[in-house]
Amino acid sequence: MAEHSRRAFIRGAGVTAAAATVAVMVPGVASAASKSSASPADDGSPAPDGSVVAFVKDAKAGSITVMRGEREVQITDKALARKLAKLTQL
Amino acid sequence: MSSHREAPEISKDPVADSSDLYAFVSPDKPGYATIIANYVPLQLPDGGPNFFEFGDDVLYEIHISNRGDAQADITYGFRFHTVVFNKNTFLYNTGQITSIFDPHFNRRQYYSVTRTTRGGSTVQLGGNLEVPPCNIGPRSTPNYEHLAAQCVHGIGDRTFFAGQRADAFHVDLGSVFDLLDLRPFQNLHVISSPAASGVNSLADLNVHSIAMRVPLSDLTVSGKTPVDPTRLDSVVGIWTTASRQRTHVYEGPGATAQNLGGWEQVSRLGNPLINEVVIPMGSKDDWNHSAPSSDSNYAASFEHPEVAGLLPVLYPGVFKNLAAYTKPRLDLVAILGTGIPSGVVPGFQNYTGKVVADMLRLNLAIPATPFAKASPAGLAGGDPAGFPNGRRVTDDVVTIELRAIAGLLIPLVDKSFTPDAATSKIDDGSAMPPTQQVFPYLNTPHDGYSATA
Repeated sequence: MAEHSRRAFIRGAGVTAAAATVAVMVPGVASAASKSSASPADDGSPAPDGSVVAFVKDAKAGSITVMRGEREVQITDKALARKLAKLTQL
Repeated sequence: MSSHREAPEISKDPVADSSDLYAFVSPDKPGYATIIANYVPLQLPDGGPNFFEFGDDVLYEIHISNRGDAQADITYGFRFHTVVFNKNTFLYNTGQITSIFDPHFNRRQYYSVTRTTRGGSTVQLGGNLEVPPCNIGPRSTPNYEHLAAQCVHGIGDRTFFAGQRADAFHVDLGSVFDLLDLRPFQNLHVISSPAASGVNSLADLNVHSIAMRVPLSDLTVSGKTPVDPTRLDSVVGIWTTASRQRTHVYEGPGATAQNLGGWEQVSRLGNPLINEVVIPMGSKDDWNHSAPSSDSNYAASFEHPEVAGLLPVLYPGVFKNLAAYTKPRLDLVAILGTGIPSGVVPGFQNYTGKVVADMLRLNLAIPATPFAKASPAGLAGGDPAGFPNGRRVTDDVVTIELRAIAGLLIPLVDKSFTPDAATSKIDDGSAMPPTQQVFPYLNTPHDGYSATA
């Protein structure tokens, strides 16, 4: 600004109107890939490789989010949630 | 950085902090649009030994809405990975870096680019694209622009760049966040002091930019190059996001921390300064996690912006008309929330429909203004190729938005209002930094050796 005076500030001035494997990267797609269901029974097949995180948001309600890689699965399993929560009891 | 450290949560996570978004029809390449998304704000150039870089654990995205419902119809995704060639040195570079392939360049980043269409597929456009080093100094990076030029990647008719650049944004952070002081007019502030020149707080700082230049037809719902500015399908809404996986697990020495789970958005940016000064403190983190299509939840902040209420209090007697104006600010809702419909500004529209959403709206059929003739005031300066029709790196968005919030454009929607005389003079006094007129348009990053801050 050339002039920074009180007068300049208040001086009147008018309006100068003047590849397919990466699909789960996308949050919206990732959400769609997630599913909510009851916990399936163990079919005895080998466990998949890689780390898994289980987030027990509400043990009483049995709501668990299981995460591996970029995948998430939401399940409801009150017995499993209670068992996991009890593991952390002092 | 129009959205840097703007919310409590993201202020602690700069690698994922969306700080500026630019979008404009390319003046030097007709038929193409350039979009630049900046992250990692407020970089001191001499920030070694671990210089700034993108997050390997962050998903960076640029979203395009072209159907008028503020949903992402096209998303460009960017993922980075870091390679350290010699782990037995503390040095970022073990000698002079004269080429992007120089063996002295020890810690390197590469990235992939994908393009996802709504309800369609994801296509990988490129992988292992090189990122230039940070600009360390004349001994380490003596010909920096050569390194940057090597990282301008042409992929078909699209061009991409990701790496450090000089910040093009300018604002006097020190004064603005000191009770909305504007140094040139602080003699009128309720806590007054002699008027002074403004300071560009970002003048010597760098950012990390993701820039892309694509054919206009890459962005439109029709897949064709728009030619009629009056057509609604000539307008697209643009915003950028950063997302992190839901869990991060530290496993201790010898083990790499793991990220697991779906991607959770932690930052977003459309128009400049929205989450910074429009959205209240208690909602800022939620806003960063939400989508533009849900911005009607924040309508009250657009209709009655806090800054508009503060100006008359902090500058007593200067903004009497603004103080007396109690109607919802439909001018701001239009400019920032829906786009300006036809009939408001003669010959101009960038309307994207009735959904209130913070997106940067760009009418792709409006030709670029040549660099030499571009007005920093954008549309308010008679230049329809500038903000709020997209945003160029030279648009003075702080001044434009401060004046708009102070009521300069209310008469566009309410002829009964007369802006206060001071409104068209509002300016924080910060000087515009140099930029360049070729892709990626942001200037060479400040080097660490020459840093004075």
